[in-house]
Amino acid sequence: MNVIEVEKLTKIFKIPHEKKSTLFEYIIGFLVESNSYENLYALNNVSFKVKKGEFIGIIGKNGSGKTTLLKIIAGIIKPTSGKVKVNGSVAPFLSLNFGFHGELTAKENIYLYGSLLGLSKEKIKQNIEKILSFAEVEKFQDTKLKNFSSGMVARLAFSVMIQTNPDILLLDEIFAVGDKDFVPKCLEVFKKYKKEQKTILFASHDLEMVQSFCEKTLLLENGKIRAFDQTKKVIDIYLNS
Amino acid sequence: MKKLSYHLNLIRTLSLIDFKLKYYGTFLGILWSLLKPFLMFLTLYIIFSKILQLKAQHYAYQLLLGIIIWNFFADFTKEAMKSFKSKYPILNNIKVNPLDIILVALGHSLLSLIINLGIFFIILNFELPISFNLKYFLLILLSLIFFSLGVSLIITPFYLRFSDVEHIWDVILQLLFWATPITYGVSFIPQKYLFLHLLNPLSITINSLRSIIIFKELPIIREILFSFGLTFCTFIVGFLIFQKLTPKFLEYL
Ligand SMILES: Nc1ncnc2c1ncn2[C@@H]1O[C@H](COP(=O)(O)OP(=O)(O)OP(=O)(O)O)[C@@H](O)[C@H]1O
Ligand SMILES: [Mg+2]
Repeated sequence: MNVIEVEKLTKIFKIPHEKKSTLFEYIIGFLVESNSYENLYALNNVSFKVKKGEFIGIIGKNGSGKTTLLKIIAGIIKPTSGKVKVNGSVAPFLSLNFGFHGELTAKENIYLYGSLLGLSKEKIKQNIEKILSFAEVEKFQDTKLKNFSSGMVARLAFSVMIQTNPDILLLDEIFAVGDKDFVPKCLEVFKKYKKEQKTILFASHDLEMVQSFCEKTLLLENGKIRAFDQTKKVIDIYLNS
Repeated sequence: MKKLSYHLNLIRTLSLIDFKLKYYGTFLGILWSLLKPFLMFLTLYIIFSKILQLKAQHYAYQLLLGIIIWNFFADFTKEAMKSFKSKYPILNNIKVNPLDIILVALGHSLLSLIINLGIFFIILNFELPISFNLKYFLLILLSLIFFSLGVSLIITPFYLRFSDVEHIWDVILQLLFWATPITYGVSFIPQKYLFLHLLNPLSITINSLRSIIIFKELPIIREILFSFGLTFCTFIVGFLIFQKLTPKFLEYL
């Protein structure tokens, strides 16, 4: 069964020659006919399918479109054309702040993030101890998040995510800030997810990690699919290009 | 389309958090936002009643009621736009229905409106009986809410795309404030400008509320129906514009 179907996906960012962020500038530009822009193809006609239970690596140079692809699958931005079909609940992990709010405490952020991911208030209340202890931040539950290190923030986000028990996980470079204790802890969870037939898309520059975790890998190049095959083959193509 | 309970839970959590962030540890903050319409009232009352010697029956109550209604409209439309900017980190990381964010802002403004109206009734109680047609009152408030929502749904996407819409909207609000019978009554409007009153649901809302609450009269049904019609159109147009443009314009934040 396919849990993700991406069909002819194209995302164009319009990069104006002069940045116009105000209506005033825009109207002036319109009058003197200088509202010109360049089309940047962040994704260009991308199609692929992911089966239930697959762990898929996504690799490619900086700016190749990995984050854009994950954001579209997560429904955070709209594609210019093409379709994405997703079967199941999605938990996105797309940047190091995860949508957390620095002025709120860890506990308040758990409620915020939990609600955003679809947890009910009761469910969060029942599990808040568990969430804090998995993230190993019990002592800091009433500390404002702006005083957390980025690794602690990542732990907290990961810990809330586990409670939502999603079918599909979208991960973008989340291990970049994890320490030697936390990464294995996450990997434990992924092993469990593997058994439970959950699906993971994992964008990373850490080729070793991709190698050890993903049976298949997608290689993006300037927004196009360069290869989508067994991880070893794809990494070879990437390293030789 | 997720379940209703998800949206309700999200709206509640975001509302509580917004409230906390806005008034973090400052009792004065809450007090200040509630006091705002009353301070505005004091200034305008001194200018119009004492200096310009404007004569109208129950002028103070008319003015205060007008300001409270206006304040709801102005605050909500501004707050709804701006809350998209303050929620950018969330919107950039997790899929959120933008309508939920508008509704959070609405809840916030509604709370202020209810408290302000409560204070208004307490003051009114000293001079006039608080007995009025509750059915009309609620119906008119409902239409005020939908009109404000509609306007907010129209302007918010443009604010996302063009950052100066915030300032443009401030100017429009200024114009609208004086074009709406807040500091004066509808009877002051010259015949040839009366159509402006009819085309402005805020004006009809304020006028009708004054009729039923202060003068204990029935509102002009024809006017109310007309205003409901306009409100309905504004809301539908707003909804369509919002649904079409917001997903595209969120990228510009
Ligand atoms: N909101 C935006 N507005 C304009 N251009 C954008 C926007 N987001 C991304 N881009 C552009 O789209 C292209 C793809 O970006 P993306 O973030 O998907 O790359 P990436 O593969 O994740 O890179 P990295 O390895 O650095 O994380 C880049 O050229 C980037 O400049
Ligand atoms: Mg990226």
